[in-house]
Amino acid sequence: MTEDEDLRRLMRLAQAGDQGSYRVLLSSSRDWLVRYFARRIAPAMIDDLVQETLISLHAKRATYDAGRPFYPWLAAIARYRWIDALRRMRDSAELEERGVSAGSGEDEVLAGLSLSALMTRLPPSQANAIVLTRVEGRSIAEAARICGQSEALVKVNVHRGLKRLAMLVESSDA
Amino acid sequence: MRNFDDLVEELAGDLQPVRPISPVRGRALVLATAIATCAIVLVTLGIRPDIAAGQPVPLVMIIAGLFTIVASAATWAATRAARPAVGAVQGSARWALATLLLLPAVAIVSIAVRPSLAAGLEPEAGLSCLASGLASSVLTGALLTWWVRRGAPANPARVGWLIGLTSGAIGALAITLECPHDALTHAGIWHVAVVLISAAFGRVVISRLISW
Repeated sequence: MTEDEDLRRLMRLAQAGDQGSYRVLLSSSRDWLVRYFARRIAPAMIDDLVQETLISLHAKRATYDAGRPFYPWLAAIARYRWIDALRRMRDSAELEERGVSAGSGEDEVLAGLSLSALMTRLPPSQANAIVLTRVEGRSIAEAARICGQSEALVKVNVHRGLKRLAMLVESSDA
Repeated sequence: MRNFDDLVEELAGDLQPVRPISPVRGRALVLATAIATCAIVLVTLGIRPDIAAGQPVPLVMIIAGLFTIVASAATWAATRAARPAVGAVQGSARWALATLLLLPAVAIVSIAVRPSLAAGLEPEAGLSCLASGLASSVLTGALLTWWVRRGAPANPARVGWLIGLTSGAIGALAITLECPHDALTHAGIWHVAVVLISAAFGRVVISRLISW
């Protein structure tokens, strides 16, 4: 029996209310999710996203079709939560652009961009602005000095870059 | 952030048996709603005389058929998309809508070539059809939204659009069976507008209601 078949069986039992099977399923899912998010978000953010995804798995467990593989279903939920995190980053950037400081929780999420391979698909000016301000934690003024751009342009690059990043993720079937 | 073991215990402790969501039941719900909508419209507004006489005008039947195809394709896709899946995108509703858009395209070209055909638009009756059609879309839109909210659409924007498309096509179908006007320009503009407005509403408003 393959790993996925094991999880299908466990999920079927969990849908019937078997708590023991559910515990095993959640642990296995957690390990898989850690690997899934490791390629998409900064290490500091992985645990939060894994927990959010497991809570979504719990809330939406009735949507699993026992006749289909388990991992694609879990991946779809994980991807949804990942996009949601990217949207929060984008919204936070918009707030900052309007002069409203982001909450500490959002700051942590913002740090999550460091490992995303998607960064390579952004124009260099946007990627640099995001790396300097969101990953390295520099101020807009510092980033502007390093990039040789005005502060307003750095803010625009950060905002547009995050927006584009979210769109890239949504349009892909990753 | 909670300890992982605590989270597992919490979720396991909260576990209750659930009945898996079935797209078939969602489709049955839409079918029942479509029948109810058509019945309500025909009872309150009446039925076209040609249909009542058992001799329907072929063009009207073709238009009604197109609305039915759009509603079916959109229902199929929306109910399927209520369950999360990676890469499970179906384009049948898009193609069905593209086919439906032939109606307004032909209507516009016809009027451009022969301006006298604009008389068939009958704006007053058209606005009445538009209002009736949108009102007839509400029941399907509300129930399908409720059903999809129980699921977990991975792309709420797309599913919201599909819900709007489904409900609009059913509303348009209902008024097509009732509306006494035969002109292609009338149905091609006003009846199709019901579908387009409803789809836009689904994309903008319903998509937010089904996010999770």
